[in-house]
Amino acid sequence: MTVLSKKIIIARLGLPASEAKSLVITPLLDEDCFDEDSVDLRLGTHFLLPQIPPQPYFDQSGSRFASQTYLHLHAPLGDYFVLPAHQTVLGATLEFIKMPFDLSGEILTKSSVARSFMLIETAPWIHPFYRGCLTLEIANVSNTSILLYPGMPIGQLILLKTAIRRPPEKLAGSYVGPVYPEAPSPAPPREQLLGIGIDSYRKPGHGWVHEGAMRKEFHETMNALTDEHRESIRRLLKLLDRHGCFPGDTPIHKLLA
Amino acid sequence: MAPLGDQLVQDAVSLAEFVRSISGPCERRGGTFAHRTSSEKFFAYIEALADATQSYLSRRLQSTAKPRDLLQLRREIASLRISWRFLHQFVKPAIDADTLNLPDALVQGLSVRFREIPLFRETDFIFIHSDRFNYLNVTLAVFKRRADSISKCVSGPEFPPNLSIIGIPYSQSSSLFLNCLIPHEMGHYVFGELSLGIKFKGELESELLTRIDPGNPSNIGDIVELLAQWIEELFCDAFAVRLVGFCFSAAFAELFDLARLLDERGKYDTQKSRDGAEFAEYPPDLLRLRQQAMRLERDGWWNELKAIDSQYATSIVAAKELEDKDFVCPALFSEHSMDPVPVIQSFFKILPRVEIELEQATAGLTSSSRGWSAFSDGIASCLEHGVVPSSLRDEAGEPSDVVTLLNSAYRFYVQEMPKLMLHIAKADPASISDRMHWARRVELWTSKAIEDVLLLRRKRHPAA
Repeated sequence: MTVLSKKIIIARLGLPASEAKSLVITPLLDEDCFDEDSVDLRLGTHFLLPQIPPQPYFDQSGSRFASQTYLHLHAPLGDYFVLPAHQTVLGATLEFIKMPFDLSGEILTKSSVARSFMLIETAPWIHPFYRGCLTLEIANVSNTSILLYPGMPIGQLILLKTAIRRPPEKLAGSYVGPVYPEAPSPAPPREQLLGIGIDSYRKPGHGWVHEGAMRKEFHETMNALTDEHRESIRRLLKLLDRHGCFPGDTPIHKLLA
Repeated sequence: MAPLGDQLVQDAVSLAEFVRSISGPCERRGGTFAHRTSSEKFFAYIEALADATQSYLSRRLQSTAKPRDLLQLRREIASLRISWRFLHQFVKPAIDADTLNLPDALVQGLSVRFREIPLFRETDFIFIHSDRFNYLNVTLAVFKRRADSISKCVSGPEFPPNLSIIGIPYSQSSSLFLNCLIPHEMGHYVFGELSLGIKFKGELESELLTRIDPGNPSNIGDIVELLAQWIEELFCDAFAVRLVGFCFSAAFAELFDLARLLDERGKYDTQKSRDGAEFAEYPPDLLRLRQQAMRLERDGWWNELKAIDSQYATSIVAAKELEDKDFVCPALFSEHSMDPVPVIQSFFKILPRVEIELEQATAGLTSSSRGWSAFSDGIASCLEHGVVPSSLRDEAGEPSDVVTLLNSAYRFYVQEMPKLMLHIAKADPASISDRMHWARRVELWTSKAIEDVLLLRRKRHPAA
């Protein structure tokens, strides 16, 4: 992999956005943002602040995970955002980036920022053809609060040549085109485990769920019944469900659907 | 019963509590949510007025002893309470309209564009949430009269100059394209500031008196009031088109589903469109659209508009073919026992004056179609490829502008969404949820581009 020079970066920026090899970084507010091998990026104006969740753990399988876990805040340019000591917040770059199909990128904390014990990225890799403002996982690891002024230079983008020869036919991925920091939308752990053949898992506050075995036995039992009895059992299960006797994401819902 | 002085203390405390309950949220607003500078001015004004009201009550109670003066104070307290009750309806909706609950980029962009009018360089707008579906302009004269009656009584601050209030439906607080209707409300501010209502009423009355027998003078007055309201609405429509171009008319056609009135050839069935015409404070929708179409043609949008493949564009183009006689329907004015023909004739005689007044009010404002040829195709190409369209430059190195971004993005939204979705894996242009998701993305990219070009232009032209 070769790190792109300022000259090549500027040449790529000059290509129309529709070209697969084009690079877009916008807005470019300062001509001094280019170093010989990197481009300075600034802090955007939107933040997602982790909140104390209403339940005793982050339940990533919950349908309202993002809205219950983060508080969306806006600090207009000129205003500041206070990041307390040992706290984290999701931010985004002010610049929107469109990566060419043949380059990867890496965003690094600017050294001046890092020396105030603030980190901006723990997932710094940017895939070819990505487009969007870059979400930053900002962490204040110092012992004092830090003021974050949107618009301040915060990171450096390094661009690297890859061996990819052809652009993909379509854009993929769940993070296409964000302009604000976006909360994660991970697949529920149950689905991730089923993908590798694990169909038993422990549910917090509930105990072990043996989903595969349960499904098998449920269908066997139901198939042995008459239509009338099957319908009665379904009605009973739905009654229990309606009165909140089954947790929101239990597999019973799939069986009843 | 307690002595009058004691009763007055209770009345004053009750009013002070009431005032504090209104200003309290303004004092507590800082910290979590951000507001526009204009809203901050409004909150500071409310706080200062509340402080002045409380100080006034304390001073007056200490210095008033005679029964006659105490009775006068009681009347003042009652009057102050009525005025504060009026202000009450604006404070919470203004606090709710923080920058995350407004189309903030659009509002910034529209305010900058509005201030390009030499007559209104200092004007700014406070945005509030409204629980009505309609957008609304708070009549500044009415608001100021009530607010300044408090100021005058308690020697408090006056309502800040060059500020106006616009209400947007809370449900539309984050959408971009439908909020292209906001410039119409800015038009109401212009209409009021230039006292055009009085002018038009005089002209309408003279015109009506030459055509109809004033058998019942009060009837004439009612009709003049109604037609003056119509004129104001049409002025505001034309103003909006002058300010932002066809995206206003497209949003108008979208919101009122005007394409429903088109036949299979893309023409209006005038008989069908008359059916719904009733005596109302708003002029018929199709008349509004026709007048907008005429304005769009004057502003150089016509060829662009005709080339857009969308029912909203077709609605606008078809409206221009309607004639004055298409708007004379028997039901109109029947409540007033008026022959509609001379009334409508008088109205159409005055209508060209709207354009003359508009030209004068907006003298010095650049055409809304100015940047179209340089940028519109590039903006569409960026959106098609999922890119924020703010990196484009013209031959002079200038970035695009708010109006060109809005119109180009609107065209993309109504005509070219499938092109974008073809580039996205698993996106189905026929799926409502997929289409909503990507339309929302287009709105976000356009909003981001508006923020970016405002920054870029400020950097290039710091004095502007």
